[in-house]
Amino acid sequence: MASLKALLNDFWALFHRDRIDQEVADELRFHIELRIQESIAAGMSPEEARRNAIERFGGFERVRETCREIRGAALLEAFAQDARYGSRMLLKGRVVTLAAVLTLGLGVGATTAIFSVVNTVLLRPLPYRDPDRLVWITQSLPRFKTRIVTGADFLEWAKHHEVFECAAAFSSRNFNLTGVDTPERLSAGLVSAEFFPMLGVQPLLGRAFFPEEDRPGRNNVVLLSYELWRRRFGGDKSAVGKAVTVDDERYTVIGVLPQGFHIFGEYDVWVPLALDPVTEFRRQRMSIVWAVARLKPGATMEQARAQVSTIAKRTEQQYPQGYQGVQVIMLPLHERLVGNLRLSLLALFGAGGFVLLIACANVANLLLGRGLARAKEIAIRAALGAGRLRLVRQFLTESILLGVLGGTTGLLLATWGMHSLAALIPSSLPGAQEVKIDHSVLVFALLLSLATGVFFGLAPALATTKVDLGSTLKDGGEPPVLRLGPFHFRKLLVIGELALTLVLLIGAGLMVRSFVRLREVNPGFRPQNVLSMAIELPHSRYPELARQAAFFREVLHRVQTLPGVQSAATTSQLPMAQGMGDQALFSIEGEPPWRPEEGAQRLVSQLVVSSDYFRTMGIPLVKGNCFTDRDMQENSGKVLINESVAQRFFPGKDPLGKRLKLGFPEGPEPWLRIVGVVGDVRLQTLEDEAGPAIYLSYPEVGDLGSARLVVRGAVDPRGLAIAVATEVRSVDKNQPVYDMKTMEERLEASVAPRRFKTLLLGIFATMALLLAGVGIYGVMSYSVAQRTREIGVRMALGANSSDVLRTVVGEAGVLVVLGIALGLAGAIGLTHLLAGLLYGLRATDPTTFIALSLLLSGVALLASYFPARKAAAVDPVVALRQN
Amino acid sequence: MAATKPELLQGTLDMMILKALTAGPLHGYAVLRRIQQLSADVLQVEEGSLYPALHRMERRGWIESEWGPSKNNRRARFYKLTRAGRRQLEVETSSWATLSTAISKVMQTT
Repeated sequence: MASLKALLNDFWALFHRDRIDQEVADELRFHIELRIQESIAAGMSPEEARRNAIERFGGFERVRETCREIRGAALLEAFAQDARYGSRMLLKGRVVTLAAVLTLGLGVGATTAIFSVVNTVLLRPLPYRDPDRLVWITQSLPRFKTRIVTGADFLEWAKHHEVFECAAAFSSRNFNLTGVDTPERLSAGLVSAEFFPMLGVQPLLGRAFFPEEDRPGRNNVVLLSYELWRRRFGGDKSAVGKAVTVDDERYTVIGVLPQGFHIFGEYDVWVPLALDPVTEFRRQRMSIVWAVARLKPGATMEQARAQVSTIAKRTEQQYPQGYQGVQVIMLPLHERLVGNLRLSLLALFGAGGFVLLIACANVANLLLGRGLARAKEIAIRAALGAGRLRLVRQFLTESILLGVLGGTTGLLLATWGMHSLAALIPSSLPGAQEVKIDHSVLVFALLLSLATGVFFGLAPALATTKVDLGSTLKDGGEPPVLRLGPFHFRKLLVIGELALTLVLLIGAGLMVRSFVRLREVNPGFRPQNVLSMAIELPHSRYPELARQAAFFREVLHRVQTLPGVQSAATTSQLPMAQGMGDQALFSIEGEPPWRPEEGAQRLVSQLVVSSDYFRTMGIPLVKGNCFTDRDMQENSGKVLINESVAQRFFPGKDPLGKRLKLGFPEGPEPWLRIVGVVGDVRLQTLEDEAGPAIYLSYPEVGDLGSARLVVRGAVDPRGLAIAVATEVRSVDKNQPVYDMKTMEERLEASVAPRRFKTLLLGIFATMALLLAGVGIYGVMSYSVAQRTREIGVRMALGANSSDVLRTVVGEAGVLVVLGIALGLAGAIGLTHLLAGLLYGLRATDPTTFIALSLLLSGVALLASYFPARKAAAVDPVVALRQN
Repeated sequence: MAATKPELLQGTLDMMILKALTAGPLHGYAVLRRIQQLSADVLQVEEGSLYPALHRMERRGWIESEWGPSKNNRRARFYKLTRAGRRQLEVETSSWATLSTAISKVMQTT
């Protein structure tokens, strides 16, 4: 209590120094005057009485000072004094201060900006009720090298209320909003009725799904996203209860979701998933879903995983072909949503931290240099009775002041850079779209500033306050403190700084080289001048294949005759677009059918394309022929294979004329004759190798309902966009065209996240390199300045300028070699953490290691060359006369 | 000088100030006079150390101060015992008793 009161008193006192002073003086004066009065009353003369009183009191000023110190803010007062003194010193050395503040600002800014993203993505809990209990469940089927949860699996799991409070399934598809002026493509989230209550998400308007609406045939109800509601309904509350036509079916709007609600991506509308347990359990229909569950209070994830594994093992016995070796994977939902972002973010955060450390080393160096220059001042203060602790405190106050200034600058820089960092965050992460400075970021920046202040200030404070009083104060004596301690310390700082820089450079270098490698990858098609878009025909209006085919024939016919169009085609799957596409097992005539041991080996991507697809996309025909227009009209019995299929399944043989079929040899599908071999195309991303793929001209299973249109223009095809969309609408005015992008844009988009991370890391590494250069320049300049006389002597004794140059650069060289050795060791130890982010090279890629070591040596030696040249230009006569 | 007016033992000044204040609030000079009076003029408090001691004790929460009019109607700072101060006085009194008995015993031994 008393100490709290004392602290409060301190605070009060801090702002009432004059008043305290006055009161103490009044009190003491009152005492003396009373004494005088008494003495006079006892018969002394006034003169005598006054002298006597003052004498008895003994050292009025000293007592007054002591009392004031006790009454005043003992702790805060000293701090305030240090701070005032510190600010004066900082103002005096304006250039140094500015350099230090900017350097720290860069470091703190980089770290804080990345921290704000880390905070948003990794630290902040999901915006749902009790988010820690939400788990994501899936199972890996090694046979198919994939992770799949079927509707039946989910329904089975959801029954287990002993571990799950509830479970919900999620899926997604696209809808056409029709019956309006401009038909629009809508993305829909399909969820079971438990989904919203499980997350604890309440619709902004209306209600969520009733359980009875989650059944086939009863599910024509829809929840709108806030954004769609604003855009299409003008934010009108009466939208709830209205009917909308989606894929030519009528749905009733039952509610609007809160603003910014999204999960697993952004969806325009939400409808009930309506799994049919009968067909799912018979496995007549297999819906693929994502499963999310809420653990029961008290149930652990281990228990839940064991429970689900037991069920999966049962399914394995029932369906050994598909489920052999099934593994249940259960993750906290947060972890699933964050995904592999964690690694990149931590890598960037680490890089930011490195920049900050390097910045600290530089500032410590600056302060050391200044501390040495202030040795005389320190010595005087020490002689006047300031204890070492007091001096250290003074220095620390100064550096903390610098740290806070730097931190403020950094925070400003971070605010400025933060918006662009939002690009790091994928849209699948709910509630994370806005990166902002909340109080955890502020607290982080503050603590960081204070910590940096102590970190870079402590060493110089300790080093420079260890002053040899005698020699420093001797007038005109030796330059103060030639003891080597601090200077060695500065060298150590530079070595550490070089090492950190090298680690960062190598990390960034690996990322840059990965990026370059990736851009050099041949995607298998020529993306230039190709426009692509998606068209999804609703089943209600295009129930049969023939009508779908007729629609696309008509569209292609019209588009091909547009001026500026070279060719146009359709495909069921577009490279570099979202979606897995169709994969199927196939059999080759005369060869044994697929056996379970083959697993996913015989799984091929299966694309349905129109005749001009290969010409339009620029995919080379390696052998044989392409499809003709006639092949699209009926089942031609022709198939094209890609080179992967040719190499894997027809090694050393000519595949042309051979026959294959989808599914098993005895299956109902017809045999297809291989008429041509085309080049491999990377379908998913640039990073994923092209796998085996076959091309059909006519769908063997499924239909043409979902197709992508590709158009090759003579020039930049973006100008064709409107014309193409108009042609589509003139065939069917209710048919929207969506996701219109050039293939170059798709390629760009597929590497954009990597580009951004690489760029950031590159910026950090460049900052580090500059700081390291400045650091070594500072130390070598100091070293040269200190040794002017020694250099003068050596030159007088016959050394020439190039000797001196060599000596100084050589001295820097030793630091560089040590720093690089340490940095290489650090890089070998650390870069393997980056392995998951690299492409096409190993984390210990020797070229990168060597090239960047050379770059760093070059920069460091250049930085030391300038001080060296100055040293070489020393005039021995002048130097020797100095002092 | 030390023969007639013994110097105060270290640490006893606080105790005597507390004791002097038991009768009621006093200003610094009055504290001085009271100690002198109570010790029948034997103890002489060094005036220079009185005020730092008062201020230190106030910071520790043993006494409180307030400005008020003195007898001759001048503004003076009056000190008053707090509850913590009374407790402190009890502690010091009992430990002083123990100490002085012990010292007397030592001194009486021949």
